[in-house]
This record gives sequence, structure tokens and C-alpha cells, in this order.
Amino acid sequence: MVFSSLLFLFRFLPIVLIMYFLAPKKARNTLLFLSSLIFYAWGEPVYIVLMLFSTFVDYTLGYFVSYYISKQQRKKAKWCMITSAVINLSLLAFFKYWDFFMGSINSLFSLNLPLFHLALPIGISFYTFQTMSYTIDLYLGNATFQKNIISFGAYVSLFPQLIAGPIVQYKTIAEQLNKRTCTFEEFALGIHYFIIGLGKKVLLANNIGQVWTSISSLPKDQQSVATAWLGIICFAFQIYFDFSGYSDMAIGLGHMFGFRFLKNFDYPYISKSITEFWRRWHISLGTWFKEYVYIPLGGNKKGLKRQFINIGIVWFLTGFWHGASWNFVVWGMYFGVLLIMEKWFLLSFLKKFSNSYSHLYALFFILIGWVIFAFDSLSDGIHYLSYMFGTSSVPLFNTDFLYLLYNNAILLIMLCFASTPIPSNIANKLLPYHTTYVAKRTTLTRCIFYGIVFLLCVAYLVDSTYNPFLYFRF
Amino acid sequence: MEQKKIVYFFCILLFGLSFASMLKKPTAFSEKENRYLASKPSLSVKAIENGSYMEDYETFITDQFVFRDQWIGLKTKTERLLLKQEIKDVYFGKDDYLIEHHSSSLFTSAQAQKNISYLTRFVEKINGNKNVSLQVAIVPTASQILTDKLPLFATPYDQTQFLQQIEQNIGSSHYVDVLSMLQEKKEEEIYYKTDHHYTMLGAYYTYVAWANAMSESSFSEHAITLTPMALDDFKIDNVSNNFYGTIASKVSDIVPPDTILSFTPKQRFQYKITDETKTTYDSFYNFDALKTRDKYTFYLRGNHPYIHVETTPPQNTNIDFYPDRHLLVIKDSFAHCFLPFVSNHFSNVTMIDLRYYKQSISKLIEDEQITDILILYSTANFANDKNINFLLN
Repeated sequence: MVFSSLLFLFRFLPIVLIMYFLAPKKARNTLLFLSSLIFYAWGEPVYIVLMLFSTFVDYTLGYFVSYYISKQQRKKAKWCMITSAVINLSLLAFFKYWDFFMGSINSLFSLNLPLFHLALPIGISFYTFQTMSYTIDLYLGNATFQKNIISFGAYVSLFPQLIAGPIVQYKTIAEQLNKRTCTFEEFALGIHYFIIGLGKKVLLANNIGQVWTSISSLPKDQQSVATAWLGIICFAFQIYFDFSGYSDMAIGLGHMFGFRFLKNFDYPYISKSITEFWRRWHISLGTWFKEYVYIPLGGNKKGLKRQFINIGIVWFLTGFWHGASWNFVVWGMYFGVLLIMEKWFLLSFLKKFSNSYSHLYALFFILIGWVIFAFDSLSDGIHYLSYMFGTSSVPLFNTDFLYLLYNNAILLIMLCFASTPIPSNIANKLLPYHTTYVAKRTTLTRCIFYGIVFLLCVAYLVDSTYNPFLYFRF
Repeated sequence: MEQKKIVYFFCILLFGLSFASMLKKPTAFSEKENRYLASKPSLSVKAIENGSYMEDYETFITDQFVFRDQWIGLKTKTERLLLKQEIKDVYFGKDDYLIEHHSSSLFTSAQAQKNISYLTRFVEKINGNKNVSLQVAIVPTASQILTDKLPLFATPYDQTQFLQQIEQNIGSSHYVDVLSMLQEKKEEEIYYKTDHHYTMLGAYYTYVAWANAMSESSFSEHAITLTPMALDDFKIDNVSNNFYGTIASKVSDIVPPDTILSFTPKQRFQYKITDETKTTYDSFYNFDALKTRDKYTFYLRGNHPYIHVETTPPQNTNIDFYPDRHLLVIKDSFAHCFLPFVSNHFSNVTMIDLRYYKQSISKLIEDEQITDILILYSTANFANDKNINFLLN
């Protein structure tokens, strides 16, 4: 099930909300666990077993990790932690990467190893990373053992972040799992995030995504340099508003049920370097790799050469995490190289120029990155790049471009604004909203705004011809 | 506390719409969209296992959502506010014209290429039969003719390429040039503003193009004098001012409705129209249809696999009438308002729709002693139809 559907909004969510707030506090984790299972089973009835298996394994191994730690047997604890990581990574390797590995080996050595053509279990990349964070944090002493398997199950399967993140580390919500308070303030904040997220996904991402779909499928004789650039800009907007919209909805739902998830996106397109971009984009994934891969490898503490190797490893894995296909590996390595160059000399070089130049530099390389990301086949991506740089004899622009541009001009302007903190800054200035004081006009304006966005989303969902789920590969 | 108000407001919206959508009785058929809406799927272990239950349930909720038509209207209006000139492959053209945008892939698809080759083989087959003449009239859709009405910079696929390909394959002697005729008349109301068909006036000009082709046919042994009747020969009535067609159904009725015309010859022709159920009528028109949403069924009472028209002309008529000839029209719904014109020239006209008529065409030609064949489709339907292969039956 996805949040941006009438089924979720007008069946699942209201029923779960009513039951949750009627239920006694003790029963709430059980309720969340069960409703999360239904939420997951709606799209993947069979793979629910896989998620329960992962939950059970990590619960058990978590028990042993903390048991051995308390007995001062760090070595045994370490082995349990490693077993947990190996099991999780094997699940991921088998269900997500098997066909890719075997296919690659087959074509390299012209062998005929079997492919399974399994559908990728939705959210597997997210929940395996979450459960791993639990046993690792237990081992590192950053978390304590969760005695209640239902509460642990609720953490793993928690439907707000189950299928598209953010990747919530166990330690960030450990306390809230056992004890959380639901207040009107929290709930109102949840509504805010949820409606903003829904609007981002349904009104912005889906609409601009259609433009990208039509441009990327244009035959060569209808392409032009300007069209190709417009197309990849549309894709950049689509993936940002889609992904951050999902995260906002997850964060909003979390608040409604009393959980506080960390921010996952922080206006990435205002970045002035690739380093900054990755501090603002999919923050929970970056943090995960930093804490559980980069730092354990030695981070920046073992000299510049070793640091560059570590960055290379992290970005190879980051790219690969996004999908079992070579273009994602190339995409990760592309950013790895850029980040190494920035650390090496580029950042200090960029400082000599004004901010707008650094901003243009960052956007340029981000857009090129999206071309690599958007096309599964590297050769399709290279074709598309050749349109963008006019090296394949397409015109500078054509009537198709002008048509697409003026049809989507208002939407594009809105997207540009929405990619910056400007709208939110204006709203905060004109309509003060603090936990202690909220002006009357703020309430009224907010209600009108939420109402309009919500009703428009419903209209677009009733008449939905295009409502893709982009993370089925993650 | 101000936050409380926000929470209450949201809950009223969420629970209000949830209850309303749960309480709303499902409707089986949407008149407006002219289709059956999804009904509640039945629960079974198998359907849950393969996920079809969940998928069907989502379609059910979307199809049956409370105030469905109003939501679709709200979406269309919002898109128009954002200056979108095209919604769901429908151009919002000048003078309130809604024009379908067919993608180039429709005309270059494998299906389209196959259909051309089926047609070509059919033409070759008929050429072997010296007793039958054959004309092919493929009618371009509005986006090809009403180019002045398209939004600025809109460049739909040029259907000329597709038509030229057909002409080259079947040979010019069998090809009726509807394109040039309609282009010449593009200032007149030959297409609906809210429907994908041509108007009866558009059908009239197509009929003129066909009649000219019949007379000029280089396939000389069949050439007959067929002077098309003039517009003046008809009494033209405006039978409805409130027609919203299929395109309006797609994007909601936010433009003024269309007019439906009926053409009746001023001279008294008598018709005996028989459909596949042997029901007979004496008129091409069904006035009851004008009370429903789907008013295009005014013409010939909608889709039929088989229709036969027997015509008795007035005595001493000056119109070219052939009592011993039998015309077979193989067609899509573009022929429904076309039949009233051709029926005035032949004592027998048979019309079949390959989407529903699956019997042998060769046998039909033999049994009914067909002397002339007309194949009449719109470009989009001809490219897309999956039943053209039944020509070779």
C-alpha cells in the first residue's frame, strides 16, 4: 500500500487512527505491529514471512549480543552481531542482487547460471538496514536490548517508514517505542508534515513526472538540446518531490502516533557543492553509511589516501544500494569521484568564486548524475547526454520544447520555489507558529491551506492516470 | 488551544470523506464515462495470494469514490488554471474545441503495420474477384484537420504519413482521399468539439469524396456514375443542442456542449433497416438516444455487428440509384452517420463491424451477391483495432 492512494487515506488511515487512540497505551505497539503487517501484506502477501524472519533473527541475535556484552564477552557478542549483519545482507543479496550478479557472471564468462526472476520484496533495503542498525548499536553500546518482541516488531515493520524510509536507526526511537506521549501539538505537527508530503507527491512530483516520461520517450527526431535539459530538470524535480514527499508523509504519520523521526531531506537543490548536496539528500541513508561503514573503516583518521579509499567504498555501496543495475554503481562512483575531488582541492578552489557559481556547478553535476540514475541502460543514458550536449545533431530547440515549456511554466516556477526554504520562511514570518503561541490567523490560514492541498490531492488521486512508486528498486 | 482546531479540522475532513465514501452505494454504470465501473471484488484465498484482490479493491475504491465526477472536474479546472493546454492526451484547443492527441507510437506500432498488411492482402484478394469494386476511406481525426484550433506550438503526429503508406500499399485506384476533402472544408463544423467523431456534415463530405472516387475509379469495369447529392437535397435538422461526447467524458464537461444534426433527403426515400437480431426500423435515427448521455447512439442505435438497409427510392428520381447493386460497408463507428448518405444510391447496403462480426467475409460477399465494398475507418481506430485481421476470414 502507498500513502498516496485513496485506499490508504480513506480506509486504512482512519481505521488505524481510531483504533490506536481508543486502545489502551499498553496495546498500542501490538496494534501498530499488526496494522503494519496488513499494510505490508496488501502489496506483498508472501514476503511478509521474510520480514517476520528478519525481525525474529535480529531479536534473537540482539538478545545474545546484549547478553554477552553484559557478561563482558565482547568476542562472542561480536560474532552474534556479525551473524546478524551476514543474515541481513544475505537476504538482500539473494532477493535483490542474485539475478544481477548471475546475469553479469553469465555474460562475462558466457555461462548459464540460473536466474530466479524474483520480484523484489518492497522495502527490503530499508528494513534490513534498520534491523542491522539495532544489533550493531547494541554491540557498540549505543542502544539497549528491547525485551518485548512485539515492540521490536513494531519498530521493524512500522508502516510509516516501511516502504520508502527514512531509515530510522533503532537508537533514535528506542525510548519512544517503550514510552511516548501523543499530544495535540504533536498531532497537529504530524498533519502539517503529512499534508505537505502528500501535496509534494501527488500535486508536484506526479505532474512533473509526466513531462519527464514523455520527454524521455521522445524519438530522436523530436529531441532537441533544450528539450533534453528540460527533461532532466523535470526528473530532478520529480525524484526530489516524490522522495521527500514520502519522507514528509512518514515523518508526519510518525508524529501522529507519537514518534519523532529525523529529517530526511533539507532543501538539497540549494547546495553549493556535491558534499553539501549529500548532507541534504536522503540524510538517513548517508548517516547510516557514515556510521556503520565509513567510520568503522577508519573514516578520515588514517590519512588522506585511506580516506579516499573509504569514500570510494562508501559510494560504491551507496550507488549499489539504489538498485541492482550497473547504472546505479556508476552513479555512486561518479559521486564518489566528485566528493574525493572536492575534499582534495575543489572545495577550496570554489570558495574563490561567488556563491552563484558554486551553486551552478553543483546543480550541473547533480543533473548529469540524474541522467546516469534515470536510465537503467548506460547506453541510453549516454544517448540522452548526447542530446543534452548537442553532439548527436539534434536542433538547439524545437516547437515541442516551446510547447512543453509554456504548458508547464507555472508548475516549474512553483517547483523552483518549493525547492528552496523561501515559502517556509515567509510562512513562518507572517504566521507565527510555536509550541507555546499560535496566532488565531495562523490557525485559520493553515486550515485553509491544508484543506485546499488535501482536497486537490483527492481530486488528482480520483482521476489518477499516473501515480508511480519509484522506490520499488531500492 | 489553537493546535486543537487544526486537529479537529483535519479529522472532520478525513473521517467525513471516509464515511461518505464508505456509505455511498456503488453504481454499476457511469453514464458520463460511458463505461462499467469496478464493483467490489469477491474475497478468495487465491485472489489474496496473487494480489488481484488488493488491486481490484483499489480500483473499486477509486471508481466508486463519492462525488467522482466533481473531483475529476476539479482536477481539470486546476490544470487549466496552471495553463495546461493538454490533459490526458486531450488538447484544449481554440473556440472550445477538445481535440484528441494521438501519439506517433499509435501509428507506427506493430499493430498499425499489421493492419495495413491485412488490408493490403484483402485488397489483393478482392482484385482477383472481377465482379466486386473496392474503395478504402480512412478518415483523419480532428488533430490532423483542425490545425488552426490546436494550442500554440502543439505538434501532433502528422497522419499524412500513415495515410500515404496505406495509399501506396493498396494502390490509388482503391484509395478515397478523405484528407484533402476535409482539409478543404475545415472552416465548417465537420468535427465535434467534445467527441472524437466527425459530425454528420463531416460524414457528408466524406460521402462526396467517396462518390467522386467511385465515378473516377480507374478500375473501369466497375466505374459508375455516382453524382453525390447536394447539401440542398437534404432537410437538415438540429436534433440536440446538448451533446457531450467521449472526449468531454475524459476531462469533464467544462466546455459548451455540441449540436447533433440529422440529414433527411427532401425526396421521399423508404428504408427498411434490419439489425443482427432481425429487428427492423424505418429510420436511421433513434430519438430516444437523445434523452441519454451517450447521444451518438442517435445514429443507427449504436454499435451492431451487422446491419442491412433496403432502400426504395422515390419514383422518377434524378438521383443516381442502382437497384441491382449491393454495397458492403466494413467500418467502425464513423460509418454510423455515413450510412444515411450511401443508402440513397443502392437498393441494398450491408454494414458489418469487425469488432463483433466474426464470420467469413468471402462467404458474405458470395451469399449476398455484393457488388461494391467500402472500408471506412478513422485513422486512429484503423491503426489501433485488433480485429482488422477478420477481413481475411
